[in-house]
Amino acid sequence: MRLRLSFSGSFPAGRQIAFLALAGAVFLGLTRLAAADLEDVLAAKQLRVGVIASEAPPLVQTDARGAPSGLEIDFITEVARRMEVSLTFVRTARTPDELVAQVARGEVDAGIGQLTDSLEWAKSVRFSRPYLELHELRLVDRMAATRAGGATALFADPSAGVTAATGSIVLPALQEEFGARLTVLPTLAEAIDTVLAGKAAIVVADNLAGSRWLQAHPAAGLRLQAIPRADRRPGLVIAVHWKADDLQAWLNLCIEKCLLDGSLDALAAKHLGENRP
Amino acid sequence: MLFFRSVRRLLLAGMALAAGLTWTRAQFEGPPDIARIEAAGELRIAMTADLWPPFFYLNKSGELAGLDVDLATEIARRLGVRVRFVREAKTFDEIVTMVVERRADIAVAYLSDTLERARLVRFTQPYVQVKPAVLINRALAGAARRGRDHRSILNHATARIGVTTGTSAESFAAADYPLATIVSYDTWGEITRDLAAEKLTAGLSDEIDAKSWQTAHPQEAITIETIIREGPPDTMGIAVHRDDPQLLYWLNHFLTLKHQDGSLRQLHANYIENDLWKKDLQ
Repeated sequence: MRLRLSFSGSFPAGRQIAFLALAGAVFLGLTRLAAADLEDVLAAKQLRVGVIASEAPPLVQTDARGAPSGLEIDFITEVARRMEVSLTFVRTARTPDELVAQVARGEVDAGIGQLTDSLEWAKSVRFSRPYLELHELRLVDRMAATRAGGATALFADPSAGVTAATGSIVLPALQEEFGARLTVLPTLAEAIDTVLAGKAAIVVADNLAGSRWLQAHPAAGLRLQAIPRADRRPGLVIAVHWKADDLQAWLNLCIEKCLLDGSLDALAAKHLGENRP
Repeated sequence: MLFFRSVRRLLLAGMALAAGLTWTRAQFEGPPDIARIEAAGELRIAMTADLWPPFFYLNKSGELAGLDVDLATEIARRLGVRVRFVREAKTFDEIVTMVVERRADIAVAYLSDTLERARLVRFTQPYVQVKPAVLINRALAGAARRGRDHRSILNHATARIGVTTGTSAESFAAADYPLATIVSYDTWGEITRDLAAEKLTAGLSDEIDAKSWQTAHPQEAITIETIIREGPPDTMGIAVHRDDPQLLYWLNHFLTLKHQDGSLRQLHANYIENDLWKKDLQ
C-alpha cells in the first residue's frame, strides 16, 4: 500500500508542510534519543555526553563561564576530536547512578564523570577500558586506631563506622567490603566532619579528593592518618549503551592510542600535578 | 466527507504515534537477559548428574560444594538472585543443550570451551585451565614401547584408548590418535577399572582426574603410568545462551575483576593446588 500525502482539504498547504516538518523533527529526535551506536554518532556528527552534575575537581568541575571543565572533560573532548564529531554535554545527572541510568535509557551516547566499571552498573551498560587509575585513600581517626590496636584492626572492627561521599569512585568496592558499616554522605567534607565529631572512625575517598582535602585542611592531618590502598585501584571509564558494541570497541582503541602516544599522560600532568599516577 | 477525511487523518496519526512509541520504548528497555534473571529471582546453573570433584561434589553435610559451586554462588549473589543447581545432564555435551534450550541460564560445570560447543553457545574467558593427561597400562604399552614416546605407542592400530562420553577428551582422542580404537565409557571410574584389567591400553582425561585417581589408588602406580601431556591446556569457560549478550559481558567483567583482585587465584589454590577439600568430601 502506498501512502499518499494529500495537501488538499481543510489545512492550508503551508500549515501541512509545517506539520510534516514538525512530525519529522519529533521522529528524528526520538531516533537520536534511542540507543546510539558508533554509526549513528558518526551520521549525526555529534557525540552526546552525559556528565555528572556534581563538582568533582580536578576530574569534573564548572569553569568561570559555567561550562564543564576538568581532566575528564578534556579527555572526552580529545575523544570527540579524534572521532571528528562535535560534542554536546548533558549535565543533569546528580549522581553516578543517575548518569548510568541516563546512558542505559539512551538519552546520551556516552557517560563520564567519576564512573568506574562496577559489576552493579555493568548489568545495564557497557564500559570502556579504564583510561586513568586512581587509588583508595583512607583517612583514619588516629585515636580510634590506637584504641583498636592499629589501623588494620580498626578496618576489621565491626563497630568502627566508615563514611564516604556520594558518587565517589571508591563506593562500589566499599559497599562490598563494609556493607552496613558504611554511611554515605552528600559531600566528602560532611563525611570527614562525621569522623572529626567522633561519630565514625574511617573516611574513604579516592587519592585525588582525599589529598586535595588534606592540603586545604592541614590541621586535620593531626587528627587523621592518611593510609593509601595501592591494591584498590578503581579506573575511570566511559559508559555506553549496552547495545553499542561498535562505540565501545572504538573507545577502547582510542583510549589505547591515547595511552600509547602520551596524550592521556599529558592531561594527567596538567590536571593532577604531583598526584598523577 | 470532510468529517471522514479528518477521522482517517487522526487514525493514521494515532497509529504512527503508537508505533513510534512502541519502537522507542523497545529501545529504552534494559538488557532483557539480565532483566529475565532478576525477574525470576534465581540463576539456574546447568551441571551433570554425575559429580566431578573438586569442581562439584557432595560434602560431609551432603551439600553440593566445589570450585564451580563457589563460583556460581558468587555470580548469583553479585546478580542479586538465588542460585539453583540443575544437575540433569547425563554428559557434558548435554549441559550445552540445557543452556541452548533454556533449561538453565548458564553452565558453570567443569565444561571445556571446545570449538564444537562454541557453535551452539557463547563462552566466557576461561576461568580454569588444565593439562590433558594419559593413564597408560605399563604391561600393554611395554611391548610396544621400545624407546618410542607415548604418542607413537598410542597412535597405533592395536591401541585401545578409553574416554568418557561427551567430554572434550573424546574429540582430543580422535584428533590425536587417529589410528587407535577409541572406546567410549559413561564414567571415568569404568575406564580406570578396564585399564587395570588390561582391557585398555590407555585412558584419556586431564591432570585433575589423573591426580585424583593416583592419590586414591597409590598401589596401582606399579601397573599404571600417569603422563601429564605437554601442549595446549584444556580450558574451562562458563557457557551462556547466544541471545544473552549483556549477561556474557557481565560474566566476563566479573571474571576479569576476580583475576585482578586475586580471588580467582585463591579459588584455584583452594581446590586445584591443594587437597584440603578432600577432607570435606562425603
